[in-house]
Amino acid sequence: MRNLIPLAVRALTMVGVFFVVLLLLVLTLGLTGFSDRILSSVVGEQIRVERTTLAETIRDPDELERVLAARKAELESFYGLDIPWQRRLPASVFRVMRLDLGEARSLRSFAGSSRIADIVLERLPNTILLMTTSTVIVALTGLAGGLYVATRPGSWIDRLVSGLAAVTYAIPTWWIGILLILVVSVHWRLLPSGGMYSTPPPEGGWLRFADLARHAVLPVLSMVLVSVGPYMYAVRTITLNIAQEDFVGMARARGLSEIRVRNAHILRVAAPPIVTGLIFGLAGSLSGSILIETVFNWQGMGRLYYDALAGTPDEGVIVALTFMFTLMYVAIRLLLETLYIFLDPRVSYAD
Amino acid sequence: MAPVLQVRDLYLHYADPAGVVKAVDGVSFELGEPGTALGFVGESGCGKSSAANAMLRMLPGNTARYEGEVWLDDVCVSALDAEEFRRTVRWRRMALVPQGAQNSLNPVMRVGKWLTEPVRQSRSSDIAPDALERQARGLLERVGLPAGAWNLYPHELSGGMKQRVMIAGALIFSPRLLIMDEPTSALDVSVQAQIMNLLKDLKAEGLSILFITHDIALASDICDRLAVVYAGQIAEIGSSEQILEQPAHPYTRRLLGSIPRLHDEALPEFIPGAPPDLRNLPGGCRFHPRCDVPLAVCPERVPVRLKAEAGQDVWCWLHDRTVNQVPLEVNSE
Amino acid sequence: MRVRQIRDALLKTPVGLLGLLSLAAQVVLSVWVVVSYPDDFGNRVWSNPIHWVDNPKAAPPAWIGRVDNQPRADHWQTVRGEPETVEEKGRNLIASWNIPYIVEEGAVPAFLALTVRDVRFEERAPLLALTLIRPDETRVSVLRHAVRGPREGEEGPYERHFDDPLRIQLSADESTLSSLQEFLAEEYGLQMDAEEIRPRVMDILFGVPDAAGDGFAPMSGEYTFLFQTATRVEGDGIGSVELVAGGDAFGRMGTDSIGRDLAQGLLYGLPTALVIGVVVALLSTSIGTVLGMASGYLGGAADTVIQRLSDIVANIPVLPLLIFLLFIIGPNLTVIIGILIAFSWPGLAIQVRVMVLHMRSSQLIEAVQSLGSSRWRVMYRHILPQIMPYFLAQIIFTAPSAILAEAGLSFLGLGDPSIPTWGQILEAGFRTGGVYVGYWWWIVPPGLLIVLVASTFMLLSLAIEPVVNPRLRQTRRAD
Repeated sequence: MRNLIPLAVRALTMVGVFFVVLLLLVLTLGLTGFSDRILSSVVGEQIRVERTTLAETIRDPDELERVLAARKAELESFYGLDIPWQRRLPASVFRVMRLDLGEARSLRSFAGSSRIADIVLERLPNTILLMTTSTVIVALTGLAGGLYVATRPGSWIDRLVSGLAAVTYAIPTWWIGILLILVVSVHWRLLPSGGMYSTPPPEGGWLRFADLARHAVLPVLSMVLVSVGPYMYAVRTITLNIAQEDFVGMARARGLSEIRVRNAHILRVAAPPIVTGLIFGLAGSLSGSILIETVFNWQGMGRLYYDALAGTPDEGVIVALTFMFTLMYVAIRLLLETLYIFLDPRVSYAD
Repeated sequence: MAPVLQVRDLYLHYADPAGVVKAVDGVSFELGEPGTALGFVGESGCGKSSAANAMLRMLPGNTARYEGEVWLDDVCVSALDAEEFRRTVRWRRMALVPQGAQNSLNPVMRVGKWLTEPVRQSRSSDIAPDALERQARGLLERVGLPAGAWNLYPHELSGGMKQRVMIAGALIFSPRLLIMDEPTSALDVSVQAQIMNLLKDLKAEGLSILFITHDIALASDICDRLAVVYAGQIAEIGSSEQILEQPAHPYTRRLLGSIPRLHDEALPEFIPGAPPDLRNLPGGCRFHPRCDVPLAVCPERVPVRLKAEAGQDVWCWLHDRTVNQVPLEVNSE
Repeated sequence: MRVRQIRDALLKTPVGLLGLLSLAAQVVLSVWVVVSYPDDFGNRVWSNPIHWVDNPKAAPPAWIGRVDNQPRADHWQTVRGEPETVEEKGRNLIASWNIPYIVEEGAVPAFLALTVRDVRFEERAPLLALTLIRPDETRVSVLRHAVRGPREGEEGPYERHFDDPLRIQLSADESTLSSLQEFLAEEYGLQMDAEEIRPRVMDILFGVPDAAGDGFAPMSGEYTFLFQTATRVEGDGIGSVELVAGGDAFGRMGTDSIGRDLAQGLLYGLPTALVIGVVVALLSTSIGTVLGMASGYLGGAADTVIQRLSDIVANIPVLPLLIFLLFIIGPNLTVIIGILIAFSWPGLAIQVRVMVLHMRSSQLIEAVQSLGSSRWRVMYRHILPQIMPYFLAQIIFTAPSAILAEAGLSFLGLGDPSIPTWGQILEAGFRTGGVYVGYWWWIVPPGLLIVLVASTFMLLSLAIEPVVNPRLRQTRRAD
């Protein structure tokens, strides 16, 4: 029970984040007239569909136009196009939340649909795949490396990790990606420079998976290269700080074995701040994945941003993506916060 | 019968960028029969806590010199290898209640779990879990904690409660010797009194106590014998009465003089000069720069153990009749 | 912790000193760039393809020849004004320019372009001719061109190519092709049609048919371009003639696919990056400090509002929102900086509040307050100086992330087109596929510069870290 109060506070903050972003989206769309345009395109699409069906029953062209005009007015009032956007705000919020944003201009889903929800949602698994893979690798190697380095403070490897952390903090993830393409794909011709599958994709589950894995090596590697140093350094520093606490010395004085001291006293106490480190790293990897997907033409939501921005911009898609990324971020944050709060019984830490 | 604890020529030096810190520098003493208490008294920074760590072999990474013998009931425990010492001596026969209990409890472990952890982890103990829990709960009750404390986390305890948990924890193996490092300095007076009474009870049951404190008055309340520590060495050791009534070392006298007293005309005196830097100690007797009756020999020769009274030894040339008792000429530049 | 300690950490540690020196060098270079570059460099020069028309496209830097020892033609460009000789020939005045050009062993230029400016004539339009005299004394007539004559209703004197120079890409010009066809037939008895010649114009101009008869071997030596104009009246003529022999390599940093001199763009990116980093860091840190102080010191409702707001803003996924806002508002550097500031302050606001709460309960502050000092005076005199070091540290921490954020946005195509940045150069290299054909000089340097500037700030923060976080200084292993 005790844990539920801080959890509620965090949850409330994240819900706050969610709605602030949502409101910002809708307000900006309303103020700039984008909201009207999106709705008009929804209406326009519907009228086009109805025109073909109606044309079969109504032969008189004037009559057809009259019916369609009435239908259009009906639809416009249904979508609230006849009232100022401020009054439509709640409906707009709801519309964004359901990704009911009409049709994309030029982008199409893999199956050919132009519905924005289709286009964006089918990309979601690809983004999750890339992010999870790299985050898990970063977490595991960072944890193992950081703990190892923490046993050797001041050694050359410790200094290497500190230096690496500082340097990689200054390197754009996406530039590392481009360099990898330049060296590994273009110069050595070892790995594909982009995409998720070869054309044509190989048949059969395993071959297909191996093909996907081959395409994922470079994007995952770029994300790992840039994130692992700082995370390793954070793990090391947290662990070293905790190893100096009185209760660790006390654990030794109580005759506990080194293994027990490390596992039950140092690592167990270090776990919550290490999880926090991962939470903060996640924000970075979210941005990182948008750019990395762009660089490697990984067919996820990040690359979709780039495609929607290039050429004739697809504003509906951009709105949907911004919303989806916020939603994803909030969801992952909540998950990790929950984990964190149950790891650390100290209520005061949570706020 | 052999004494409970015997320490011979104990040294613990640390390496430091500014030089070697001689925190424990040739300390020898013994703690006689079971159920007695020895007080280790001295100013802060004189090496008292280091002596406790040295006895438990809790050595920091920068240890430069560590030697000496520690005998516990006729067994030279300092001769055991590190792993054996850990498994058979540390906490089982010699337990420590550290200074600053505030941070000595694992913040994410409940009290009950923390308390019983060393027993559960011990390979040699085969006590059943429920018997262990009964015993541990009994200890909590013993140190005056409510039964509900069993399920609490450290941040839910007050400072006094944490200190009691520490004491209960130290008693979990029913050790022979309890080393208490300033156990009450962070507590308010009423809690301090409760804890002192608890210690007296434990002593009466046969527990030997090494009581480390800067508070000579508090030490005399519980201790049968007192050792006055100065700059990593013992200056004087004797029964509490002897130390309080007829101190033989000038430092002990100044230390007693610095205690404020009720119903006394004399104002408390402070000891001139600063406590010595353990990195850079004066030659000869380490107290001579602050001594009010230094002899010419004091800066030259390190004092040896001398008998002041029966059962009272002192490291001070004033008590050696074979040494020329010429006062040190002070350069008044 | 004092400001003095930070100063010492920067001045007296090798890392700090290195960071400071690097930063100082960057600042000096930036000032030079700002002073010496034209106003509106972005629109008028960088994004203007005409400005770069004479440069070789996607050429590696000139120094690459010293690394791989491949023969490469240097980029060669020359402008001449007054003719060297003018002679009367029949009814015409023939003005001549002799322009020597040396071809090194195997280094045939990539293209040849002629630019003529400011043509003026009274009645009859001048004729222009360019002949290449080769080392073996053979002469190739490269070009004959008549300047456009009077238009209907136009009155003399006539002016041509004053605003729009006459630029002829000789390596792709139809009349050059036919001249070459003639030349090959006469000189070597070779019959080649225009389509055969088109891809090898430069090889033919600067080479001889090789023994095998299916190609041309480069001929090194001293060439001369003879440029001539034929006019009728004294006073008719041209303002200047310019010849460009495109190199296979160009300048210090090479060129991109539209021939932009990358060295110029890269240099221009330096002050921009520094300004982005410093302005965002300074302003967001100031906002964070002020709000944090207000929150900690005022307490009550103000505290709650500020803290909730900080919490929310600190947890917003920034990049998606940045993309969205920039897309809506339009790519503009001021907007980018503004949005970055708007999302960078909360961390410090939370941190400063905690520090102020600690300090407010300290004895000094209580004593000062009981003496009747006003709230603002206490804040200014006693609390602010203690926060100062964190303020400075935070500036150093924030600057590189702002620089990286702008670079990322530019890479997505949301950079301000009127102000070229390294991110935009990278974006162009990526979008036009420069990466996939291995144009490393287009891809590597801008990224390296981003890393250089960002890591300068990282060096500074590394140097001051022990001061800000003293616990990390001595880490000893116990037992």
